[in-house]
Amino acid sequence: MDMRIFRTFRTGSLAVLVALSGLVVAHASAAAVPAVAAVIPHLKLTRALPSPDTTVTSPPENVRLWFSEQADLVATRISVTASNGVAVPMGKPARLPGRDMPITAAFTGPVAPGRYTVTWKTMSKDGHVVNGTYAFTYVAR
Amino acid sequence: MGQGVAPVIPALLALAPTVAAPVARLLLYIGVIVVLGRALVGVVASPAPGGTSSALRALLYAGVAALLMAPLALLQLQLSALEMPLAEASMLLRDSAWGRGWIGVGAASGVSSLCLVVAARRRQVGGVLISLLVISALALAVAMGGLGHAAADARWPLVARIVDAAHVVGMGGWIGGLLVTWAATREVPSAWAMSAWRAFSRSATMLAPLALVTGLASGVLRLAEASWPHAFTSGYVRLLAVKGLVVLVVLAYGAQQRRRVHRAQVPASRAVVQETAFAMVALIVTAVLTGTEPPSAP
Repeated sequence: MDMRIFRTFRTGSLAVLVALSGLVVAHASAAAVPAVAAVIPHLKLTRALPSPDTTVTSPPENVRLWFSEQADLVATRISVTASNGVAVPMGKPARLPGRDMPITAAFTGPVAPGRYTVTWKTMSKDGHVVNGTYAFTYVAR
Repeated sequence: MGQGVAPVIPALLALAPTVAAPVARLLLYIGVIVVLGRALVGVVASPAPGGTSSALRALLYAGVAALLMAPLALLQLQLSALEMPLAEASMLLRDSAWGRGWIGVGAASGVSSLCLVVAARRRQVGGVLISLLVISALALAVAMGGLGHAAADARWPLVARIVDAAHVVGMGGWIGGLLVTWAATREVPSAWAMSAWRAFSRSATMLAPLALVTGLASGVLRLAEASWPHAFTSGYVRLLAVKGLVVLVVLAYGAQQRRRVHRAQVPASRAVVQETAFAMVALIVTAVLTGTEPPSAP
């Protein structure tokens, strides 16, 4: 490598180089966020009950979420809102002991027929926070 | 001029959440390389005749500031991302894997900071303090794996943590040793400076390849489950490629400096600054990489 190229840098231009590099990286990271979002994260929702975009005919007792790897329970939040935007009362998320058990949040009151949106947020072991929403419908028989 | 500046400020504020976490991680890396560098130089070089130079003292205090600020910033950012109030911080730290990793980093950072403060205030640093510096530096290198991608490796958790710790030791010892040696040799007789640079050069000859090999191994572990060629379009792989290129530039500088040292010439300050600048770019990329999801199998 021709090191004479580097000898022409002065300290001031070095500072500019580092600052520019930082800006390029910051821009690349901001641009990478949508690209990363399109890539499936290592912690992801693999299954849910009630299932997304389905119709149930009996009142659901809880929301159960299965993830691709062990999610931290203490960082998990599950909320359900009705179509009018009112939050449905729910208990704290819990998980039964055992491998591949879902995280479960129980409804603490009666669930009226209607369309509901489930919003969840959780954290993987390395601190990545992932979240998502989906909807289901309850139709009384 | 006002019209030109006005749109920049909202743009910077909008960018702030994106860069806050990488900045906090970068602070942690800076603190780690300072403590690893000071520990390395303490082991391989004899004590400087004039005691701790003012430049070295400033560097050590900068490391202390970074080590104290970074864990607190990371904790606050994590609480914000989880929308958890500060009152629930103890629950997060106690009951989550990330929280336990943070406790390890926080504890090691605290002990390392204390050692750096004592080293900065003492005219001469004895064997006991050097031993404490080495232990706390190694503990910090191991603890950092608890906050990175290695912590979530389900297939080879122990291998991932070992590779991660070795990579931190390699990079931190190499770049930190370069910085600390440069700062320590600025106000000393040339004979001691030359011996210090030779000692560092011998260490860097081992640490740089260690950093490179463990960096490659870490990349392989992260990308083992990726679906190719889809992964080539991921931000993670692109950033990893950028980091690899920058590290090669740093290696080239290091090789040039090694030739100078072998010719009994002290490395030029300008070249040291240039090498450090490129190393900082690699650290910035690493700080962004750690917060980026590696591509996985669909």
